[in-house]
Amino acid sequence: MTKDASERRELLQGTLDMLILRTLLLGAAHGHEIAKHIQRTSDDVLQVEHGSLYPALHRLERKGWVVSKWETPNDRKREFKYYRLTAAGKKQLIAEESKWKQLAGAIARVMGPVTEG
Amino acid sequence: MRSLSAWWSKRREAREQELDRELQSHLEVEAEEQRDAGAPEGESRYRALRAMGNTTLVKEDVHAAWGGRWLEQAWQDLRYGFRGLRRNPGFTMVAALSLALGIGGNTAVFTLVNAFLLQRLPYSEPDQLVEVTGSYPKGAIVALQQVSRSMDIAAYTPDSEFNLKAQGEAQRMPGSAVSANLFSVLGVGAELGRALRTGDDQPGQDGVVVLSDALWR
Repeated sequence: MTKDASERRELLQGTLDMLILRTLLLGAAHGHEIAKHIQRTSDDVLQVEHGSLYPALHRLERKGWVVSKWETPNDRKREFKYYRLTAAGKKQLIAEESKWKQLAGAIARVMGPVTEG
Repeated sequence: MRSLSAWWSKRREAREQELDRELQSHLEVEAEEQRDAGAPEGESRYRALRAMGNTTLVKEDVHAAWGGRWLEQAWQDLRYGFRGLRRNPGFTMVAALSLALGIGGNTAVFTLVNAFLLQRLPYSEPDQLVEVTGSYPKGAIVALQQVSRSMDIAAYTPDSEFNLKAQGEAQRMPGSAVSANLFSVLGVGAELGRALRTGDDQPGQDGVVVLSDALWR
């Protein structure tokens, strides 16, 4: 299931916030779940470094895009710090998504098929 | 100040503990997963730690995300500065003294500049006023007044003294003989009664005096 190191990709700068917000759109999650979800959904191509995950979560919380709460999941005995998307966070996600689509589209057009004259 | 700093460090400590707890819970889940993936018992925790990377660095980066670090550092710098000043009383004295002299000198100069250059004179159109320094005979003033078309000319005698005789002995009083239009040129009036008006300087009708507020009292 795990891929070679050569196939793993570092996250593009600035995209981690968007990926976290997108993950939380599905419901509340703690840090480990968020990292695993991004990894799994991207077929293990995207590796979320914990060194950037937790600073990003705390930054998003400070900006008011997510809120956190300690909760105990049903299948466990211990508490986890769950992050939840706020209304402002949803708005931010929409904004970042459209910015990302613009960028991806632009790169795709530049990298488009070469027509040989 | 002390209670503020105590409050700050207490709040800081609480957040610190919460972050520790959060990272700890992460490590435990990671260790469980490593175990499930078949890592030997002693190895799983080590692998989890390795996956996390440099924990101290993670914490530092989270602190940066909290913000307010500049305030903490500024507070530290301030305290360091004060300690330095206490250690070198001589230097502190000289520094404080030169600051005091500098500020005092500036204040004095500004007071003068403010009074002479910045504040407007208490007349109706101070920017239209020109004082000609130099003395002219009375006749010349009258002639100039008649000839001039671009300005109104008023005149006064500087440094004159007059006899003032009220009850008892006469006194020498500083005063000034002025042209009748002085008050209208300056655009000021009298607080009580009337100021000089046209004709008050005609021979035979010139027994008019305007007292200063200080003398009147």
